[in-house]
Formats: sequence, C-alpha cells, structure tokens
Amino acid sequence: MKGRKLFSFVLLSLMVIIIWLPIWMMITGSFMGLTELTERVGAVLGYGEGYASWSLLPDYPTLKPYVELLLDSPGFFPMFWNSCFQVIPGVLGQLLIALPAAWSFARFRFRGKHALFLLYIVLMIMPFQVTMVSSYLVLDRLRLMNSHFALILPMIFSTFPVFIMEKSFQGIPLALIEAAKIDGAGELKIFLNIGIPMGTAGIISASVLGFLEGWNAVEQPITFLRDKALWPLSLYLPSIAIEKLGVAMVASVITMMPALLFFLFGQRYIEDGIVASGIKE
Amino acid sequence: MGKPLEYMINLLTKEHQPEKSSLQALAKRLLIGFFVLMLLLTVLSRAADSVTVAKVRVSRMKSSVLNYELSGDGTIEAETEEYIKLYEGARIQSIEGKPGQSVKEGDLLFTYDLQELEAIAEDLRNEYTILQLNYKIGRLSKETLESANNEEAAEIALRRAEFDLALAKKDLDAAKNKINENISDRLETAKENYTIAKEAYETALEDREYAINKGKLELTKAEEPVEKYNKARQELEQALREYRQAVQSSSQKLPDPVEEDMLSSIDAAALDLNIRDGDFYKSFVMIDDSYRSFLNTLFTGSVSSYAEASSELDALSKAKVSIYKQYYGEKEYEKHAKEIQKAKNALERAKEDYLLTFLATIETGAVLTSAQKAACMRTYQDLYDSLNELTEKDQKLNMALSTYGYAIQNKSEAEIEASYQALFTLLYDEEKQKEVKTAQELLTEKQKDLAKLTSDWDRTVEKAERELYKAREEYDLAEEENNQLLNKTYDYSEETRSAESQLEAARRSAEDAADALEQARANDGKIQAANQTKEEIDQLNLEIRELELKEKEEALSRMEELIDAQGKVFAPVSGILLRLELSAGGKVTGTEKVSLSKEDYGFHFKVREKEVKYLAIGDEVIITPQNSRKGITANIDSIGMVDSQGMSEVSAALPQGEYGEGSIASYTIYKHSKQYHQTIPLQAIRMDANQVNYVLVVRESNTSLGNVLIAYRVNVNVLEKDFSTAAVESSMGSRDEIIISSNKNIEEGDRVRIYEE
Repeated sequence: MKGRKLFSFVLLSLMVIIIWLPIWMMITGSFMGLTELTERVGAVLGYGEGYASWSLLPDYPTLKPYVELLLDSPGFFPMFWNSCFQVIPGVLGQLLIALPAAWSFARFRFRGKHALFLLYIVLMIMPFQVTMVSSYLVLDRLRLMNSHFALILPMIFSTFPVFIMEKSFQGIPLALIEAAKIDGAGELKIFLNIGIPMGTAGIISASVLGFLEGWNAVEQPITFLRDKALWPLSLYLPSIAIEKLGVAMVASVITMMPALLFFLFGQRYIEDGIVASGIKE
Repeated sequence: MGKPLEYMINLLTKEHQPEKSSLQALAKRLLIGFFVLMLLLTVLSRAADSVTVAKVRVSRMKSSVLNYELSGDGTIEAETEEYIKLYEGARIQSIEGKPGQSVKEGDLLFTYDLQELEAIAEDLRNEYTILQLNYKIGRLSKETLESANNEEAAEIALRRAEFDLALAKKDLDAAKNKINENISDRLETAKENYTIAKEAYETALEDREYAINKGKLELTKAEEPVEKYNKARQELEQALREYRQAVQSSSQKLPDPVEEDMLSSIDAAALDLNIRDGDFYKSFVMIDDSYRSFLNTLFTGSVSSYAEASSELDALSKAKVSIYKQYYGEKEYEKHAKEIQKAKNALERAKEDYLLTFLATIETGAVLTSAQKAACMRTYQDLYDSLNELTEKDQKLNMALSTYGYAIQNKSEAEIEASYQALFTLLYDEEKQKEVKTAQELLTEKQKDLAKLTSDWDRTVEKAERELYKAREEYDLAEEENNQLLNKTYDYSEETRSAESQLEAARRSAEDAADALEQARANDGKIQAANQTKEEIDQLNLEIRELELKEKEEALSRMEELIDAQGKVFAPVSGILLRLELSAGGKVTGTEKVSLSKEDYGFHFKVREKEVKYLAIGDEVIITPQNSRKGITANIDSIGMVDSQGMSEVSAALPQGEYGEGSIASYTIYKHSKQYHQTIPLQAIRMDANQVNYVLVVRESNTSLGNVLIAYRVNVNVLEKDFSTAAVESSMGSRDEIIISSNKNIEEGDRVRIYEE
C-alpha cells in the first residue's frame, strides 16, 4: 500500500515538475540581468550561436527588470488597468445574466428547453474565429468598436458560465426547494435564499474560469480594439525582443499573479464543482 | 538508515489532509494587496515618467536664405612700392631720409661716397668695353654645320627600284595571262570529255535496256512451255480428282477389273471350219458378242464425238472423258475416237458381210465352204487386230482407271494411292516428264542468262556513269576556275608564287628606296634646320650682347650722372619712404632695400578655409580703421590660396585717402545665399555613427498611455549652412516639429514633452 502511494507520489511529482518548469524559468528569468539572459537564450533570438541553456537559479540575481517595468514603464499600468476594467465588469455581468439563466435551465420545465440548452452548448464550443466576423459586424453596427464594451458585452453574454452553474444548481436537493415552497417561498425567494447559497461552488468556479478566460484573452482585443490605449495586459507580452527579455519575464509574472491568486481563492469551489458534477443523485 | 527513509516515505505518502481555509483567505488578502500595490506603482511610475520624460523645444521648417557674416581684423598696406637701385659695393656717406617719412619728388634721401662711386664707374667702363669687344667677336664668327646633299643619291636609288618594280609587275601579268589561257584550254577539254562520257553513258543505258528486254523476251518464250506443261499437269490432276469424286459419289458399283486377252479368246474360239454353218454362225456371233462387250468396256467404242458424249454422260463418264482428253489432247482424242469408230464400223460390216453371206446360203440352201468361212473369219480377225491395235493404249488406260475406281470404292488409302500413282504415271509418262524437265532446264538457263546479262550491263552502265561523273567534276572545276577568272576572283597565288615574290621584293626595295629618300630629305632638312637654328642662336647671342652693352651703357650713364650729382640720391616720386635699410658709412652689400610707396593702399586680412567659400571677388567689405568709427566700404579684389595653416589671404583695394601703412583695421562682410525651401536651425541637426545627418521630429503616437509625443528620426541632407541655419533636403513636411533642444539626451523612440519658454 505504501509502495503504491510512493509510486503515485513520485509519478505525480514528475508531472508537476514538468508543468511547473516553464513557470520556474519565467520566475527565475525575471531576476536575471540582460547580460545573463543574452548569454543563456541569446542564440534563440539571433544573438550569437549555439544552444539555449538555463539554470535553476540565476547566477547574478537582480531586481533591475522589476524596477524597469514597474517604475520606468508607465505604459504597462494602463494596460493592466484596462484588463481589470474589461474583465471584472465582464465577470460581474456574467453573474447577473448567467445566474438566472442557469437556474431556469436547472429548475424549470418549458417548451424548447432542451433545444435552447443545446444551442447554448453549441455556442459554447464554437471557437472565436468562427464568430469573429459576425461579432465584428455587430459591434461595428452598434458603434461599440474600439471601446471597452466591445470586450465586456460579449463576455457578459457568454454561455459557458450558464453551463457550469446549471450543473451546480441541479445538485440542489429538490426536497429542499419543495420544503421552501411549502413554507410559502416564492420563486425569487427560493432562487435568492436557496439557489444562490447552495450553488456558491458553481458560481464561484464559473467566475474564476470566466476571469481566467477574460484575463488571458488575446484575439478579441486585437480584433476589436484599435487604440493601443485600450489594449489589455495580454497584449503587452507578444512583442519580445532580446533587449526587453527581462522586462517581458517580469511582465509575465505580474500578468500571472491576479489569475493565480484568483484561482487559489476559488480553488476549493472549483474542485467542489467538479466533484458535484460527477455525482449523481 | 532505514528509519529516516521510512520517515520520508511516510511523509510523502501520508493521507491528504483537507486544506484549511487559510489558503483561501491568504489568496484573498494577497489579491487585494496586489491590486493596491499595482495602484501605488501606477502612481509612482507616472510620477517618475513625468520626471524622466524629456522636455524639448521645437521649431518648424521654413523657407529662407542663409546669412553669412564674417568679421575680423586686417592690416592696411601700401599696394605698390617704388624701389631705388643701390650700387653694390658703394659706401653710404650720409642718410638724409627716414623710413615712414613722407617725401616729395626730388627730396634728398641719402648720399654715396664719391670715391667709391668713381671706382664702381671705372669698373663699369671696363665691363662696357669688354662687352663691346665680345659683341664684335660675335658678329664676326658664324659657322654652319655640314651641308645637305643626300637627297640626290636617294632619288636615283628610288628610280632604279621603281624600274625593277615595273618589270616584276610585267612578269606577273605575263604569268597570269598564261594561267588564264591554260584555264580556258582546260575548260574546253573538260567540256569535250564530258560530252563524250555523257553520250557513252546514254548509249550504254540504251544497249542495256535493249539486251535486257531481249533476254526477257527469250525468258518469256522459255517460260511458256513450262507454264503449258504445268497447266496440263494441273488439269490432269484436276481431272483425276473429279474422277475420284465421281466414283465416290456414283451409285454404280465398279467391278474388279480383269485383264482380258480378247485376241486369245478369239483365237481360243478358233472356229472349226468344218462345223456346220449354224454352229459356225453361233460361234461367230459369240465371238462378236464377246468383242462387243469388250469394246463396251473400252468405252471409247461408244464415243462418237465429244459433244455427243458430254450431253449424254453422267459425272463418272464425264470425268473419264476428261481424263482421256488429257491423255490424248482434245483434238487428238476426237480424231482417235473417229478412227475407232471407223474401225468398229469396218468390223461391223465384216460381220454383216458374213451374215449376209450366211443368209444368202440359207436362202439358196447352199453351204458355206471352209474357204468362205475362213475368209470371213480372217477378214473379221484382221479388222479386229487393227482395232485392237488402235485401242491398245485405251485398254491400258481403261484398266488403270478401273483399278483406281475399284480401289477408291473398295480398298485402303495406301492402295488407292498406289493405283493413283500407276494411273498418273500412265497419263504423265516419262517422255512427257522429260519434255517438262527439258523445258524447265531451258527456262532456268534463260533466267541465268538474263541475270548474267543484267549484271554485265549494270557494270557497264556503272562504269560509264563513273566516267560521266568524273568528266562532270572536271568540267565543273574548269568552269569554276573560268568563272573566277571572269569575275576576277581567281587566286593566282599558288601558280604565280615566284613572280609575286619577286614583285614583293621589288616593291619592298622601292619602298625602302622611298623611305631612304624621305630620310635623306629629312636629314637634309634637319641639317638645314640646325644650320638655321645656329644662325638664330648666333643672332640671339648677338642681341643679348647688344642688350648687355646697352644696359651697361645706361648703368654707366647713370653712374656718371650720379657722380655728376656728387653721389646724392633723390626721391623719384612723392610718397612714403617705406624702407631705408642703409647705414651711414656702411657699404651696400646687395641685400638692403630702399623703397617708396605710391599713394594707393589695400586692406589685407586672412580668413579660415571654411569661410573662404562664402567670399567672392567683388564682395563688399566694410573696413573700420582702428582710430576711426566710420567704416570704409571696399571690394574684394583678390582671394589667395589656402596655406598650410588653413588660412587664405584676402585683399580689398582701399579708396584714395590717407592711411597708416601697416595699421590694423577691422572688417565685416555680409553675404546672403539663394532662397532655400527647407531651412532649419543648425542646432537641430544631429549625426550618427555612420556620419549620416538626421533630425528628431516630434510626432504623436498611439500607445498604451494614449496619444503621446514620440521623437522620430528623419534623415536629412545638408545642402548649405551658415552659422545658425542649415538648408537641407528631407522628407519632412512644413508642419513637422523639429526638436532643436532638449533638457536631456534623447534618442529616436523616446517620449518627449514640448515646452515653450
């Protein structure tokens, strides 16, 4: 028994190391100076010959890239706040729109429910490239192009949170709701007092996933935002040159932080949500 | 060792404990802290940016002229000096003038020592005398170089060479004429030969055709009998095949043929002459019947004519008739059939004669005597013998046919074949075969003869054809040579080599002689020229001596005048005594100078090499002497070359007036260039490491901070510049704002802020 556990632990550790290695490289790279970075990966970017190399810890750690980014790159912060202005309202809007929709799918019966839900699923699995042109035309007609709403509105009406939350609401025992009905609670009260508290796992996991999706989005900003003043943080990274490699590493770390922290905050709920979706009553 | 390891394993494999909510709370706190930190850093970075962003001053491009102002100091100098000749070796008795003194014409400047002067005068006189004598000598001595008379001899040599050349040409022409004649003769001969060869060839062709045709005719003749025999054989074989088919298809059963000797049967039935007439008659009739049956078997007895047979007979009979015809030949067969019929009729008549005789005896009641019986029998037998003889061949043929027919119906294939061969051999006997063979041999012989004939004649014709081609080639060659002659393109070089070489030699000799003549003329010319040159040199020397004489005379005259003036030297013109490098009591060594300046002054100043290009002769210069406030306008009259120190001397003529020689004055020159469309402040121009001029232009750019001002590089080509402005060529527009100064070092791509003072 212990042997099996040891084996499982070793195997999982190996996989974790493989997954964490690029992140570790990014973190250690953010503490390397330009000279050290050029020595290690300059060949890949056209400076010098040979192969790229890396080490577990930097030979000459320095905070210069952090200073350069956080104090000498004022252009970084507007992009950061743009990300916040676009993602947070989007997530909140999702909660506002998707919650009632998910509750309806989970709890009510109405004509065309399955067809509508199927449509939601189809829309959910469709990649951005497929709907890009139609979205562009609609936003242009609504005169929302080149504005924050070009990203916020499509995000609010995303179907993915509906799917997640619907699963979560389905897990609420029917008896509880019936009991509430017997006690005289109306549908709104049931939704607000029972549905939302009981479905917190699904709600938070949908929010976290929605936040991650919005925070890392690249295609929508590039397509719908012309002015660089409106660009989010995800577009700061695409331009990586050897001279700015250290800054790019730091920017990657900073970009990753909110997503990581938010995920850690909602991790338990996401796990509960995944577990709940697997259990059948 | 085991326990720590076991501990480690337990640690790694212990059950997962549910996470406490501290991670969630920590994450929440970190998240909030992160956003707060980012807010703080946003403010800080903006503040730092506002400090670090460069502040620049800008200017726009405009159309203007470039102004150049040159100024500096220079000196006023006298432009022309009058020098006073000093006598080397003379002593200065006294000096009355001073340098810088203004003198008038005729003023005493200094005085020579008279004794020294007289000594110098004496020397001058001697020198003058020497010069005079040298001049006389020069006039008297003139000699010439060698005379020129080589031309005549060269002319004679040339005439001889030309005569030889003419002779050689004549020889060459004669040789060519001979060649022309030979070519014409060759052409005639070749033409004749060609005609003969052509006729021979045509004759050979005709004869060949005739001989071959004759041979073919003989061959055709020889082929006819062979074809005839072959045809006959084929017809015979066809008749036999038809016979076989007729036998096979006939319903009549053919008997086994047995050879009968009728004549023996007749002999065997020799009549007993002594028997009674009735018995004799019976015996006679019996013999006749036997004979008739035999004749019937012969079949030919019943054939009277071919036409009759063919209309009445069946297939078998027709086949037999056909075979008989093949055997005899058609006409022969008809003749034979008629003869047989005749013989049969005679035999019939003999029999009828006997019967008549017998009947007559019966009527009369007489009896035939033995002699009468014998006579009847003999007559009948004779006729029978002749008929038998006549049908001997028919018998054989009939037997063979019967045997064959019986075999076809009753026997095996081998026996059929054997009987067929026997029949065929009978029909196609040896004689006939011999004839065929002979005819075939003759045909083969004729074929060989024809082949040989054809081959022989082909050879003859080929030979004639070769002769013809050869004659044709010779004729063509001769004709071509003739055409070349007529077109004057014939190459005589091969045949006239020796004549041409002689001509060439004669030509070279003539050319050499001509060259020699030229050379002789040239030499004579040179000699004459040299003589002339010598004369001229002599003349020039004479003139030089004359001039020296004159000069000396003048010097002597001046000296005598000076002596007459007691050695006093007066100012020849009015002006300033510039130099008086003499000392009283001292001797003149030759290096001293005494000079007066005429009353015209010039302003001289130096400018740097880079400033010279702005100046031109005629430019106005405002000159302000040191002690004056008023400026004098002058024009530049000369600009010197740049010296080793990079300076160039410029001078301007001053107007008439009183100036201090050597005094310092300041100058100012103002110049304008042509109108330039693009001029920018000089301080805006920058230069990179590659010596390329550029400026930085402020343009708005869309960044994450919104629209900000960024410095962009624009390359410029500097055409001209003065001390503050530069005329350039660039791609800038008139609205572009060019950075002319900044509070810190900036480069392309830097953010900037524009500020106005």
